[in-house]
Amino acid sequence: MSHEKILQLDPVIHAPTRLAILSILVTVENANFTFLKESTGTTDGNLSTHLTKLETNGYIGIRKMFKGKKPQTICRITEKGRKAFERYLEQLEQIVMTQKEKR
Amino acid sequence: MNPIQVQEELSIIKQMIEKTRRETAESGHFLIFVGISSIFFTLFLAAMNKIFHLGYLSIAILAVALIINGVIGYFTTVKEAKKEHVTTYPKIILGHVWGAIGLPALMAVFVLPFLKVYPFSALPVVCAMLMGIPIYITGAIYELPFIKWCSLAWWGGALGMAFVRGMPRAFIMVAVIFLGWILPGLIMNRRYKNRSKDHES
Repeated sequence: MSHEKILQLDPVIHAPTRLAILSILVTVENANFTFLKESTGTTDGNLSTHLTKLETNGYIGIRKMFKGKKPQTICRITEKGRKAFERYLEQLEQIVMTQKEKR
Repeated sequence: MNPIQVQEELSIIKQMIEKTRRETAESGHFLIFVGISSIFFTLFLAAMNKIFHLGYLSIAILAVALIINGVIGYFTTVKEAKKEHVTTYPKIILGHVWGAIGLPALMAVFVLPFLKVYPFSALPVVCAMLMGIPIYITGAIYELPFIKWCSLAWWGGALGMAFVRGMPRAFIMVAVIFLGWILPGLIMNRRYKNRSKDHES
């Protein structure tokens, strides 16, 4: 049963940093690169890689802009990303339920 | 996926949501600064009216007060917005609510009395009625029930001011501004500081 669930889990979300990024973005309208970096405790390069992966899969949108003279990277979750996150949570819940039933 | 992995993933989600909530707490500075400035102008206006019987001039003083409040509000919110790394849904909704109340408030002060819809003496009552609305919604959105109760100060004050004139009315207004603006601002600020402390520890 657990093995089937692993196969069903979304591989794009099934990585701690990407899960953390989506958990933040699902609760806000948008967040910038600095906030995501501080919250997830990752490096610039690592965060960029994960953001690109999420963007390529259509889970988040990334916008580059200037706030005064400083460049900013603003991220927001897409409808597809929100649905995928909800589905992921449901699956985690199902796994917990299955484990409880087994006991 | 074993139960420990599931727990780890759920803990990541919980941690991130908590962290974001801490970061996005409202400081309440806007309400505190605007409240203090409004108390000053209310007392100043009442005293000037008592001494000089200002009449229409009091509307000009009120206009200056509103402009100064607007400038204070603008710089408070803009300065804080520059530091923020996140835009939240509550903040966006509240911005719209204050905007939606601001325009009718301006009409209530600068248009309707001149059109003789109601006398100038009704202004404090009308303004207090309007101001209770954004405070109530702020309390509801930030899940701070006590702030929702503070809106009753505005509506109760509006009713109270309908029965009195002159200095007693000014004193009611001062009490209402304290209970309906400064107190909610202080409550929000306390929560903001507590969350910052939690974050540091």
